[in-house]
Amino acid sequence: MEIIKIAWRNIWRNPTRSLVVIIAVCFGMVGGGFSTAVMVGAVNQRIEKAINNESSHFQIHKKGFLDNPEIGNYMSDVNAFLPEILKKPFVEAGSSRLKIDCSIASPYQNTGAILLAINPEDEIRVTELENAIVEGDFFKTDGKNQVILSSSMADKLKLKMRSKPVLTFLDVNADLTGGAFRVAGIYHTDNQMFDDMHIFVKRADFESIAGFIPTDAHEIALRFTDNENLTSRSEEIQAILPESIDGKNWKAINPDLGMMNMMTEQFLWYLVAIIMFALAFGIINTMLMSILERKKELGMLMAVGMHQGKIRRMIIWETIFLTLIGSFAGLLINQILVSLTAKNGINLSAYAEGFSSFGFSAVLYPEISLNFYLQIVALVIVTALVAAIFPIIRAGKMKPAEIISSN
Amino acid sequence: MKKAIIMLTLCLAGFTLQAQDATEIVREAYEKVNGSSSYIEMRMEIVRPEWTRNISMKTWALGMKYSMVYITAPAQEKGQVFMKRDNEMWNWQPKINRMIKLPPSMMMQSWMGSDFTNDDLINQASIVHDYTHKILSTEIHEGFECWKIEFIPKPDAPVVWGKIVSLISKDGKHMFKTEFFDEDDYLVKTEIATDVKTMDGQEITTRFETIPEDKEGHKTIMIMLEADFDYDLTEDFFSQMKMKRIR
Repeated sequence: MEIIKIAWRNIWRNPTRSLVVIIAVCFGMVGGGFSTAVMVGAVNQRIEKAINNESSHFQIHKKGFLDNPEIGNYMSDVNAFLPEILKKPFVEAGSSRLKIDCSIASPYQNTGAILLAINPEDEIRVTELENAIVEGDFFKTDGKNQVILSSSMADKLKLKMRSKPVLTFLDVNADLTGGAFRVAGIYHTDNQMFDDMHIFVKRADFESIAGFIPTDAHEIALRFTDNENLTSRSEEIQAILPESIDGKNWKAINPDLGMMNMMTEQFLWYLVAIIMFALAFGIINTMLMSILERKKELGMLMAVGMHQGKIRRMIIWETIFLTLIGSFAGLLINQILVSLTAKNGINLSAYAEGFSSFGFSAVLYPEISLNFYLQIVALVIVTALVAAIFPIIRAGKMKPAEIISSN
Repeated sequence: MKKAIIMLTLCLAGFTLQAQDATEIVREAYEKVNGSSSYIEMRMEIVRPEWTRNISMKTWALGMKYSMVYITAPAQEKGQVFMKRDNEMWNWQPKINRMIKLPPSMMMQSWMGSDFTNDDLINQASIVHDYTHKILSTEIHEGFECWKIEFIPKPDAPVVWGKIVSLISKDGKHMFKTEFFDEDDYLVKTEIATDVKTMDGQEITTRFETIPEDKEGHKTIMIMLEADFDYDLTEDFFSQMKMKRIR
């Protein structure tokens, strides 16, 4: 205890020098911590959006559909299992869709797209696309052959509300068919890749053109009440499904997203470790300086019989204080920054195009977990211990008699 | 290319129009097309701001449903065959020994780099059934008396255009100028037929230009070099076997 007190006093004997290190550690922490918060926030947002707008929590297809999304690869009697799945307490809603590659043509341009034929009432309970509508509405107004497409596709094809693109696709017998559709809504999500590919029509319209019946589906998307227990829930649903039908949760549908989640965590941990490694050199330098400065004093302590171990402990405590004060200050500032920005987000709209081409939102909401803080503190203590090694060796090499007698 | 064939065949009818009703004018022209079988040698010139490219081809067509195109030049493309049967399109690539059925996703792509897409060639919306027709006026064009006819697509027709305005000669032989408009009445593209000549005993226009409005300096020209309008063809001719053997 005495030693800790002495160590504490020692670091404030030269406040400037100590503060330089403390501030360096502090900035290192803010830099590492805040970039972590921004990245974790961005990735979590991306995942949330992917679940809400794109893949939902769970999808059901005929086996082989994901590898070969052909019109004939559909599930023919979804009523055999869908009602039972929807009864599960963790399943909030389900939307049974027909999904097919199509071409969409305007007077000016043609492009390929993925056509999703949906029941609007079911779809709005599963996805949040309704909120992404920027013009028109999500099949609220009545009308035959309506289509909803993204703003980027509308620009590309020079289409606007009430325009009449022609959709061409294969029907249930794999013959080419199609029809003229009216643009009833235009949506815009943060994911450019999604926007570029997906158009929506009502199931009833599509069924009558392509010859499907309401119990046919290429894809059933399920929304869960929350994102917990993904694996066990997936197994529970898979148990209900017939042999030829396969269910996948969002991590299996988007392996890149699942991986991104894990990768960011690891990557950020490495980032902070590198920052700490660099800071360790600064700490070592400061400690060496302070020991050389206190040569006489340390020599005297040894000469009057202070145990080597106590001197070591004192040095260790000094380094720990230096790093801990710095990192606590840093994490505190970081927490303040995160809570300040988390409310309104960091607006990077100027670079929105770049972000959205990766599927990220241009407004970032940083977030950080307690777990991360605990890891950081552990890392800081390890750094302090490692940084103390050199000064200890240095102090150990001192010869009290020589030091005292020299001037 | 198919458009050109349609226009060609529209023009070759050696009949006199009795009916003054716009739909009747178009219908009669169209029915003549449906019964015809022809062999035509053509050259396609693709004009771009920076370059021009020539492609020579032989085409066989039976009515509106069947056609086959064999590319004879340039050497790089020579031997490629395109076949249309109903609304399917096939492509034979002798260099890689592959027969491809063009999937919907490839329908958008430009045909041989021209201003036609594969879709243009396949999705020939019926000019009779998908539109309502109206005579706007009469005009004298290159010494021919012509009807100016407006085509308005029917509400459910799978047609992207807002309207089409076409200049058809009163004798039903020539479709000189066709303008395609979008739904806001902006001109999207123009097709112009010129160079009236006599070929295989028929007086027809032999040069067709397609000019997209929104692309400065782009156009595609089709020039008829030789034609036989009584070519003996049956449906069996349009087979994959034939695609591989045709020269």
